[in-house]
Amino acid sequence: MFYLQHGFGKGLKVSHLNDEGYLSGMILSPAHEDRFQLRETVRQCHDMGVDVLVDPQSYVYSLTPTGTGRQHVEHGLDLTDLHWSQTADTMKRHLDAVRRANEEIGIQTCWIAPSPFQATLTDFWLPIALQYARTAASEWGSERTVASLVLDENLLSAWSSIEEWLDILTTLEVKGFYLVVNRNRAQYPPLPWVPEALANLLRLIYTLTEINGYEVFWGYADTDGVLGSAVGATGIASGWSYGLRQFSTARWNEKRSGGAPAVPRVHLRRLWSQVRWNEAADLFDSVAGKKAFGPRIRKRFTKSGFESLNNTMAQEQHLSVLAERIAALDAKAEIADRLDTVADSLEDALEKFGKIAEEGIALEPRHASRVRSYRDALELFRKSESL
Amino acid sequence: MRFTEVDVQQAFPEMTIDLPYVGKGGDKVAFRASRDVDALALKILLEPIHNDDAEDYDQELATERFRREMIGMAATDCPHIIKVIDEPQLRSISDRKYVWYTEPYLENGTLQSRLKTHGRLTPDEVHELARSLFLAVEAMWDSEHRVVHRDIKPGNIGFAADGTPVLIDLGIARFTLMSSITSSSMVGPGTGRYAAPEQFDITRIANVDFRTDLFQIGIVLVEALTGTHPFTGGDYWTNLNNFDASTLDSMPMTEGLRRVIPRLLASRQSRRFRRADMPRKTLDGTA
Repeated sequence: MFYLQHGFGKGLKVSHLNDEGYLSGMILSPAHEDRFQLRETVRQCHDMGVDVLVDPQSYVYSLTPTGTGRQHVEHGLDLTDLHWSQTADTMKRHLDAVRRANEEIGIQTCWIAPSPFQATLTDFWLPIALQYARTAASEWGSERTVASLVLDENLLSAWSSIEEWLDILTTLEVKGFYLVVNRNRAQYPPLPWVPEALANLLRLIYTLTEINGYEVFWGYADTDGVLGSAVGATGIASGWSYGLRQFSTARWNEKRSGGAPAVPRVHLRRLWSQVRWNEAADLFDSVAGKKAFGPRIRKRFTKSGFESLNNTMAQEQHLSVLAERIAALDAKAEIADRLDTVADSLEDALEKFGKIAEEGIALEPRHASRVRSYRDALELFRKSESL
Repeated sequence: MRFTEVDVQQAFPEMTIDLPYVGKGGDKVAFRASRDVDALALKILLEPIHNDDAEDYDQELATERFRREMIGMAATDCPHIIKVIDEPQLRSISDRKYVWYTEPYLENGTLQSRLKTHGRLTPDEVHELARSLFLAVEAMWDSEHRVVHRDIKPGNIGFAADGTPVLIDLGIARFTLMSSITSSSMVGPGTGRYAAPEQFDITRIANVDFRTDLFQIGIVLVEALTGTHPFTGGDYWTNLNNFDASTLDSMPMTEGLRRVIPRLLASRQSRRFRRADMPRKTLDGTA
């Protein structure tokens, strides 16, 4: 299922996306919008039959230096006293705050539990994270509780420690997990994954969903989420803006002062890539590049040209393609079918990148590197899980 | 044993006690006995109580391990877990007082004796055995004390007169909601040959839960199906952590068993079943 990772403003974008039939839910950000705006969004989503979750973003208070969420105070989610040696009363107060923040904007069915950020699986935050999840399940009921897993990508390097952690995680009586992974460098498009780390992340999702029957909502997953969906993730989220397409703890500390406007990008499904509009234009008329465009997108840009693409249109096109892709995978019940589909598509993309390079067309090398890391991670995953 | 078998016969005139005794462990001895039409297992703790003036059984008179066994049996209500008939009491045997109690006598012996005398079970019998053991694990885990048996093995599975499998000897069960009474060795108590990987690892011993019992059931089921322990031959530790389900491909068994056994024998707990009722539902195809 495709979820929208929501930040500032929406305009008509949500209803446009929903009109295409692929929007299953939305993950709201209490840092970005006030109570009134969130309540309106919840109402709109409920009218459309779209599920809504709130990321309580408590992890920002365990960062060093401590992060901030602009609207957290208004939502009662300013959990600045979150500490690794906090009392049981403090934990209960935090859970009550999250519950109230959800209820006040009209969400009654399912709540994401707070959690600190976990940079490793050996430090003092690990038991606190588990305690939040276990206590939330006890306070709210297991069917209403989605535990948070807020992880650093470095934590994913060793499967043996993840396995040990999973033995404990799978004792939690919760409905599911809200998973976000901090990428070390917040660039867009994101840097390629270390294949072993991504394979371990996929194994984590697979163990929780396919083997243990939990739901897993992967926040800020963006294109990586297609692989997550293939291995069993329940919900894959991505946002309009580049900052909502990958999770970075650095963003919770930065003092932004504007900057250059984002360059519109075209999502080329066949290349698994979001290329700059001018790169897309270069590809469009080349022999090898032609094959990177499907009939629908070719028709669109034949008619209007790439110069007409603005950021709003680019954002809608990106999310629409991603959502459609997730829906297509969701339609395949068997994991083996999903994995085959993704693996074939990745091989096909790499072949196209090869042809494009042969023709001498310059593309950011990161695109092909990312696809290669996807392919390698998926192979490692399949080998490890004998799938 | 500080008393003779004849001492026991004399001390329990209300029962007919068959000699010799049918079993003797580290802390108690068991006799087949009958009273009216009931066949009983009379069990007597080998250590006399320290307070000879005591008139009635009191928990303080028994070892912690024995007390917990009694609590475990009382906490579960399942036809596949042995129940106490006569609650623990004191009786003078020879010149000292001992704690005794009775359980139903399992006329058809244990799975261990059955495998020894009749060889392996049929696939349908193993399927029913699996179902019974899963129900027993469910009942223990769902009980007030979250009981983990920790020592499920052929010698601890008996068969009642009607063939019902019954799990016996909760003597080393772990009560996850009570403090631990055992120190590490294997690490922790149990039978090495039937232990789950986490029972050998000091860093994982605190994680022992019903999934540990499921692993032990997995060993028992394979042994019942094939007549052979699944991890013999080669390096035991390697085999224990890398069960190869394909070794059972040619073995006739029900589809339900084929679904559950590989998961029961997964080396990591997170790869087994997350809820105590899941293996039974998977076995029945209703998961």
